[in-house]
Amino acid sequence: MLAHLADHLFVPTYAQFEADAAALATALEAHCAALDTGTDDPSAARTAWATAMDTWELADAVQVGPSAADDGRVRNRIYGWPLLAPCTLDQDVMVRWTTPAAYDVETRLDNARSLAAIEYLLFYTDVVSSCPVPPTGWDALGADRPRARCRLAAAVAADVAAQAAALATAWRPTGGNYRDQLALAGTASSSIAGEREAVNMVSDGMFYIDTMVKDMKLGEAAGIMINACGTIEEPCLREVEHRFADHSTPALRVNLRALRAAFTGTTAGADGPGFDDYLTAVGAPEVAARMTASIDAAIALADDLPASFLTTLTTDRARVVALHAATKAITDDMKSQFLTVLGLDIPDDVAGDND
Amino acid sequence: MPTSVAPDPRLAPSLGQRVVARATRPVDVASLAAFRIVFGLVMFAGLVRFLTSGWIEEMYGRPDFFFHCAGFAWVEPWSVTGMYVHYGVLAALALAIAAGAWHRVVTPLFVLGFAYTQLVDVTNYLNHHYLVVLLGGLLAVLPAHRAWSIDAWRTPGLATDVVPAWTVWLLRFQVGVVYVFAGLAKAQPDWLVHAQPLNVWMSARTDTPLVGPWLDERWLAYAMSWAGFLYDTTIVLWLSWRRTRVPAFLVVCAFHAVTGYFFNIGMFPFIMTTSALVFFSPSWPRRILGRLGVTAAATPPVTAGRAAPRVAGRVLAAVLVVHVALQVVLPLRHHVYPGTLAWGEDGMRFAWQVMVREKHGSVTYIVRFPDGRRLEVPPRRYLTARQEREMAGQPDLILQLAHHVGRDLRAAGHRDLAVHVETRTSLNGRPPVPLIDPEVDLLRVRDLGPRTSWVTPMPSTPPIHLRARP
Repeated sequence: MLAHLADHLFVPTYAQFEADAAALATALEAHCAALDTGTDDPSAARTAWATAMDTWELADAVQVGPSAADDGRVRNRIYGWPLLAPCTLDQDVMVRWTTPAAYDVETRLDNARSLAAIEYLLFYTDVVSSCPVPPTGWDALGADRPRARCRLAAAVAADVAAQAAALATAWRPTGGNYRDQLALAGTASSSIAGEREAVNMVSDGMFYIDTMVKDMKLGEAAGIMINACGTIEEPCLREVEHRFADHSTPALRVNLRALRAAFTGTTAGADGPGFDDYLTAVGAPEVAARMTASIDAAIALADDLPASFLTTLTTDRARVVALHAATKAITDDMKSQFLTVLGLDIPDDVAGDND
Repeated sequence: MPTSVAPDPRLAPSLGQRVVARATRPVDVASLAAFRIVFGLVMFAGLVRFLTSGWIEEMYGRPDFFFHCAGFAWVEPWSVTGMYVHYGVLAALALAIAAGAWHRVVTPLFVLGFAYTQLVDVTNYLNHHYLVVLLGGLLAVLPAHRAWSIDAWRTPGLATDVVPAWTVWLLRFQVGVVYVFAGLAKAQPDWLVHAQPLNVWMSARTDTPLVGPWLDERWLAYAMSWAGFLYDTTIVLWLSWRRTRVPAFLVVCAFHAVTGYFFNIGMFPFIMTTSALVFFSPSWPRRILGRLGVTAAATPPVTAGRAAPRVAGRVLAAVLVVHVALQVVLPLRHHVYPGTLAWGEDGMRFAWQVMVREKHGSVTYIVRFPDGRRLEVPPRRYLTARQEREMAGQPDLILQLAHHVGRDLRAAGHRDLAVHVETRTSLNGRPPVPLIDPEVDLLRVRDLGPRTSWVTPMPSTPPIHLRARP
């Protein structure tokens, strides 16, 4: 199962993201060049961002290995959501525009870089700054504001592309070969002590569906759970992922499909062993079937969502509530029988003593 | 012509008198002193391990909320630095116990300090930590410092080479209680009929070197379940019988080595293995020392015809009698509570229910407002992953956090709210079902009486039966 998931889910996804991130960086450079000549058509750059974002949402939904290490250091640098500081980005726009040499993406916090920052810079076109007091020179930018935003977006995109390349290399046999670390866990070829530990790493990654999808993307945004707006049973648009691009619906669909791929082993390119086969092999086929059905039910609800998540939240919130309930059905099983039957631990648990 | 006269039965000692006579006869102090030394050293090792593991930050620094034992809500942790100092002081006290220095002060301080670490957060509770408190408490009142100690060296009048037999019996009783009740805890269908949770635990360890490929065999889970049951319920007998004592001790060593290898049970194997030494003759340390060439301390004291020093007043004797009674009653109290112990967990703690269940579950608090609105509150808002995992199977902890959620929201200005909880709990691999009745407003529940009004009945389905992987 580990080799199959590595070969048909993780490695291809990171390779695809490397290509998509490079294409995004190229598209932004082209967009900035076009702006310099007076042509303001961000559609190609926005499409490139959406393409890269969708690929990353596939990887993000089951974070394993180098991107998950160090509390997700690389993950946050590539896509830091929910970390995002629009005001800081406005300040960086001015720095990058007025004194390019003074801007160094290396020194920025994750809330001022990553694909989330690019989304803000590409899709937020209002002349009003996100800062209570606009940065010095902001109002004077005038017609140059799109150019200034684009310059910063291009710088951030170059960083994302570099991180994506490093991540893909870390998985390749010719690079860090994390593929073998995962697939050959428990052997002398791997630093992962045992197969169970490796399976637990994948399982930990799958819990993205719980904290990020169920709780943050759906629960907090729809006012089902405590949120930053303090609303109850009312949307909190501030909590919506991709609120500037209104790209949440595709992201949710991709997240759920990634979970299904990891759980069933059925990826875009191959059908192989997954957790469902693992569960069936040890004598719990009913758990496998129930969880697969729960994931499929959630995917069906996500597919039925209108394209605009922001509109759906405000006009047809019940759909989001239903999707939240469907994801909870998945996570209820993940936190209970799934862990017991496979002898796995919950994410972020500490290996303390027991008795 | 001589005539024989039958002894007057009124002059023969009664059973009680015979027991008192045997309990107060002098025995070698060596095993008691050795127990003190080994206990102190094992505690020192365990505390140093704790200090260097990063657990202090995890257990006392990261949580925003701590679960309290009834009556101990006032116990709060020090700062993380303070907790490091606390554990450092405990480690120093453990060394002082081993050295027998200022025993009557040091040992109670150690017990109080160690108990504090458990009272800070119920999710820290471990059976063997409870055992440490009990053994430390007994050591504090026993004359374990009157030989091979700094105290005996500093105060020669304190030194003795004999103690009353009951002092050794008391430690044997305490260790025996752990084994017997841990064995009785296994006398239930999940363990004996379904070989759970050993089946799920062992099936998860098939990547173990050498034996791994057999660990998911169900027959092995049954064999280990029954072996564990028979071991726990009878090992005290074999350790108490002189002819079987040595092989029984070897079995103790093997058993705890195996369980220590397979399960994260910390210092438990070391504590139980070294504690089992109290079943040997009180002079056993001298025989070991003799074999090691330490002849000065190798000769057992003469006990025949000697009187043991009086080491307990009436008050202490009464306290110890109460202690013994409690140690028998506490583990049995769940039999008078309604509900199933492994499910409702009423009477689970302080009862030597050691490694008898595998419970995982999801918990979501549902806050209902008077206008019909509802709000979900995930436990991770307050708890670490470790705390949430521990809480998910323990109804009283779920209730405690429900009350905290209620207080939190009231403090934010919400009134007349109700806090319910949606739980899905899997016991020993059973399909997940609600552990708590979702219709009950937990703010109206106090964990004082039977839990049947808010904890659901134990599911009637059997635990899962895993099969060996092809």
